[in-house]
Amino acid sequence: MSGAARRYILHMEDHANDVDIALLKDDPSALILRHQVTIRIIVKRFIESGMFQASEFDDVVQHVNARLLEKLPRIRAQYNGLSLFRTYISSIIRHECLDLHASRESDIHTERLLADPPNPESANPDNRLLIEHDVKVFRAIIRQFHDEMPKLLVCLKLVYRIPIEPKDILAWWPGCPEPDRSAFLNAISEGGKSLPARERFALLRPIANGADNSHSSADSVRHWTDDRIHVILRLLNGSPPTSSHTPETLGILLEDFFTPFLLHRQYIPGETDNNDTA
Amino acid sequence: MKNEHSEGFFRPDGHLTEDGAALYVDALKLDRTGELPGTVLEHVKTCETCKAEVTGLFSLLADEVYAATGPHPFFDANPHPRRVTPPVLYRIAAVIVAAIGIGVLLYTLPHRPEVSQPGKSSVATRSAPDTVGQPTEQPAAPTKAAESRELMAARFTESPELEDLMKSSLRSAATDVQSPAIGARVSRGAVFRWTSSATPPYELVVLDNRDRVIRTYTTSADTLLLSDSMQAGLYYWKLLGEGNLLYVGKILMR
Ligand SMILES: [Zn+2]
Repeated sequence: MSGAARRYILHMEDHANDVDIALLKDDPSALILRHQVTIRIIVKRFIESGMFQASEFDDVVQHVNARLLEKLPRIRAQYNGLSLFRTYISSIIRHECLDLHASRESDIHTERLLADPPNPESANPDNRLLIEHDVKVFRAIIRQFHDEMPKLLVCLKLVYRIPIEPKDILAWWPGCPEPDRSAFLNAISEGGKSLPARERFALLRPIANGADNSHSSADSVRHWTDDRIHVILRLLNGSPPTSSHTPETLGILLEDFFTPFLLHRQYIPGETDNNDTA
Repeated sequence: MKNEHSEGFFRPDGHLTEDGAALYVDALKLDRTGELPGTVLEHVKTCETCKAEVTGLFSLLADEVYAATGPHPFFDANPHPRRVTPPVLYRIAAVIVAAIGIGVLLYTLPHRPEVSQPGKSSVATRSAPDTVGQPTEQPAAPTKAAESRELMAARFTESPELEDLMKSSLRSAATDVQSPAIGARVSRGAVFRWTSSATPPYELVVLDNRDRVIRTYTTSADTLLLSDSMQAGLYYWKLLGEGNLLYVGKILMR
């Protein structure tokens, strides 16, 4: 193949979404063929999570293909071209797999999985991949808290006794007066870490009320944090559950979030991932 | 944060549409969450149902590379989100036309006189003195072509056994095959459809014209997408259910 021809093919692949959209209009069956790899990746993930057995792989793939063929007219009508088609069809494939799983009403695999929880600290290379995957998912969950994220991270650091830095406070409350900030940071670093959670949150109260412009009790901030920890755990474990994260494994993911040792890319308080003009 | 284009992202019940959740996942994959509509960010922040939807989808795509997707239909669209717009199609058409043009060019190039290269005499190239007295491949070519024609023809020869099996299976009324028709020309992407009184799962076996199993698919549906490429030739396919042979058909693979 000539360099020019290769460049043209690469150019088309650089615009994979445009190709998807054109196929959706003109040759939807070819579009399903084009996404066989996506289907296989997703089915494989569900098998890894214990929702299907490895021997069911081809059957589940063909089930998804059959359902996609059936749903093509609906997909054409409903896809409004705002997301990448690849992500959109992944969502449909995911729902087909979840529906198939639900229709079988088989919790055998899930029960087996829960009886044998994954050990995030294992050196097994497969587990290593699972950990890396969970790190990515955890980061994605944290981002969904949007402008609550700086508050959430300070509170999580407090719960997990991870050192809080001035920039953490400033990311939450940019106008935080220096004396308030120092008072809290000194109190928490000088033996404050050994205090029970309730008292640590009492130390945080002036900062929390100043940042949120409220008059909440220390307990209410602690409950707010506990509530979010439970949400994060439910999201990490999935529904139906495919992981078995606990508050302890969440602590490992959180430590990695601030000082990555499982994956690269460090969280920098106050720095968004993009040009947030809000 | 974009606030102006949040229509289409919410269902009547207030949660994100499939597109809305997919857009959020795109934003996470592409590190562009700050460009999401404000209404979407605010809703997901407080809605566990939508967080679960976004996280579940992201989890499946977490390890996938989102490098060559091209301009994003929402984040890179200014000022309005688009449907399947003509400019997109024109651009694709232009790429396809250009690719065809290059293909035609490549096809025709060898038939043109060779272009002289620096340091080489164009006369010498055209007279090709170094090939004089050398054995050439010319005489062998017809033999090879004939061989490949024979091989090709062999791949299209009917199998008497499978033809018999096919005719007897057609007499069975328990299974009705809608596609492909007997002897239909098909290619990768062909759809097999049937209705049968047999209980799923079904096994669909593709055989070549020498009764050798080429592919076996298992499905619980009554539709199957032929997702693999196969050499051109005559193939037979068997549908099995509940351990019984339900149907035998034949297809011509292009
Ligand atoms: Zn919602």
